[in-house]
This record gives sequence, structure tokens and C-alpha cells, in this order.
Amino acid sequence: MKNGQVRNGTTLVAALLVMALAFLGGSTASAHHSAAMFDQTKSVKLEGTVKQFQWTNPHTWLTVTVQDEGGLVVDWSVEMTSPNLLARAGWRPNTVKPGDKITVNISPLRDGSSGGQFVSATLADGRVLKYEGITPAPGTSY
Amino acid sequence: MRTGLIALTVAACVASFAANADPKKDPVDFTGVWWPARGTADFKPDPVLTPEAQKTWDQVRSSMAKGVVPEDSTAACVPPGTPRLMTRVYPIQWIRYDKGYVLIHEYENMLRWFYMDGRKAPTGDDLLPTFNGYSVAHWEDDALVVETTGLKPQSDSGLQVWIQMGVKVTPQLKLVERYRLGPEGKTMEVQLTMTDPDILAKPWVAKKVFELRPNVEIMEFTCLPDENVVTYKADGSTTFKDLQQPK
Repeated sequence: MKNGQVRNGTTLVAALLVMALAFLGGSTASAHHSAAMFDQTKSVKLEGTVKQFQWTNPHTWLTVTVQDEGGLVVDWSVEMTSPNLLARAGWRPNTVKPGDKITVNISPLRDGSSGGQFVSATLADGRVLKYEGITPAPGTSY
Repeated sequence: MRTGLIALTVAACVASFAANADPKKDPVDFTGVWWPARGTADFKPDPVLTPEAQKTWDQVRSSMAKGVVPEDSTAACVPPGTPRLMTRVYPIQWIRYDKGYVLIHEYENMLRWFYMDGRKAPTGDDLLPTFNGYSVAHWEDDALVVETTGLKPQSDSGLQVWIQMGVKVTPQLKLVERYRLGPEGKTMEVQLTMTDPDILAKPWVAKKVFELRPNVEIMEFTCLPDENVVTYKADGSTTFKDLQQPK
């Protein structure tokens, strides 16, 4: 697959854990544009490796490489809020780094492409990342 | 460059504030950084539209229900313009200077000026269309009443500017905002009244609340098309710019 290319991941979505959680649009308030392309009634859990975290305006982007049970490797593009709102909540450009093992919950794109809107993430060290802030791993103090 | 413009504006405000005592006669002081209260993103309730405008609303809203929003020009970095700028969930700094207030919006570092020196807004060809229009303001008791005209309906590249997705900005749009402080000056409430004979069958009245956040400082925020990772194409599909290799 071409680097960074977004491909139709309908079957992959089906293979992943798709839950019909009611989100009530918790993250739309910080959207720069209409968030209608994301299905906020659904949650997709991505377990993979960070390919890139782009600290860019007006949105930050997280690219996560996910391998499904069949061995298919797909890059997922996850849209996040602006650097300013993340920075105020304690995020920094290096909070997430390429190579980090990560679990990300997203509201998927309605068209089935391998992309979505960020909801929350957990890093391998146990830190939980949300728009509201970063929760330290259990048993640690910062 | 925009940051430089803001710095100049702020410097000019500070300089002229000292030279003019008029602001001291204001019944209310809105100086400070204000953050939209939670749950006030869109203008509510929905507007009552003319039949033609209703068709646009139905079309855009049904497209949004399917997750397709090619019409949202803000995704292409077109400024939201006023009034939509007032729905952005970012802080706004109000600064009083001798001619009135200047509002520095964190959202795309947009600026609005409320002229309070008694002038009238230009009319006809002298009223140049701009995304945030031309605003004159006056006091009515303890309310600051701001009237805005001259709003630009489209970007120079021809993309539509919206009051809210589904309701177009037209050259006839007039906005009247009434700002009041809440209890102990910790909140600010604005009632927005929009009129437009082409689009609105009756005035569209919405209310928004802002909270004073003394510890918040405005940050730089840009939207540059060549840095925007996502584009929404006319056929409704979503494409992502090729991402860079990790370093």
C-alpha cells in the first residue's frame, strides 16, 4: 500500500471491534469544520503503532498503523482538535511519538475509509490521552 | 504576518487607551478573555427560512445526515465570517480603546472592531464586503448594542460563507448583537438578532453565553490550505493529503 494512502477499510472495520456506543457528540465542540463525516454513534478501537503525530493547524493528526488478524496492514488517519486546545490540556508535540504502541478509540468516517475522529487513546505505559488532559499511568506520579 | 498585525493592533490600543478618557464613562467593562460556555456551539433554535432558503437548508442538512459536507467552506480554510465566528469554541479577547472595542478571536486569529465613537456604518459602494463586516456599537443602559453590515457572502474563490451550515450569508444580512454582563461580571451574555429578507422569513434570534477566563491567553492559530491535511471534494468524498514519512 502506498504510504499514507487512505484505502477502503470496510472489511477491516468489520474485523475490528466496532461498538455502537452513544457518544452524544462529545468532541464536536472543538471541531474546526462540520464533523458530519464522522459517525459519532460508533466507536472503533484501533490497536497499532504510531506512524506519525502531526502537530499542525487547524487540526492535529495521528496516523496509526494497524495490522488485522489476516495480516493486512492499514494506516488509519485520525483527526484531532487544534494544537492550541491540546496544548492547554497538557499535550505537547512529542506526547505521542512514531513507534509508540497505542490503542486509539475513534468515531469512524461514515464512508468506511480508514479514518476517523479522535476520542481517546492509551499508550503502552498506561497513560490515557484525552482532549481534557492526560492521565498518568497507574502508580506513577508526575 | 497575521501575528504581526495583532501585535500592532494591541500596541495601538494600549497607546490610545491612555490618551482618551471616554472608556471610563462606559457603564460596563467587557475587557478580558471570554470562553464560550459549554453547549453553545450552534445558533439555536433553528431559523424560520424563506421557501428558497428552506430548499438550501434541506439539501445541506440531508447531505450532512449522510456524512457528506462538501459545502463547508471552513474545511478549505475560508474564514467562517461573522456571525458564524461567534459559534467557534475558542476564546476571544476584548480590548477597549478610544474608538471602541477590538475583539481578538483565537479562532484563526480573526479580528472584529466595534466602533463606539458615534460614527455611522458606510453604505452603498462605500460599504466594502468583508468576512466579519463593519460594526458600529452604542450603549443602551448597560447593554452594548452592536450592529453589523457589509458581510461577504463568498470567498474570492467562490466558496459560500454560512451563518450556520445550511443558512447562507448574503449581502442583505444584518446582525444586531446585545451584550450584557452576568452576575458579578463572570459571564457575558449576547443576544444575536439576524435579519435578511432573502433568507430569513422572520428575524433569527439566538443567545450565547461566554465565561470570563482571566488566566487564558490568546494563542496563534492559523488555517492555511496547503497545511490542511483533509479536503472534502465536491462529490462528497474525503481525501487526505499524503502524509510525511516519520523522521
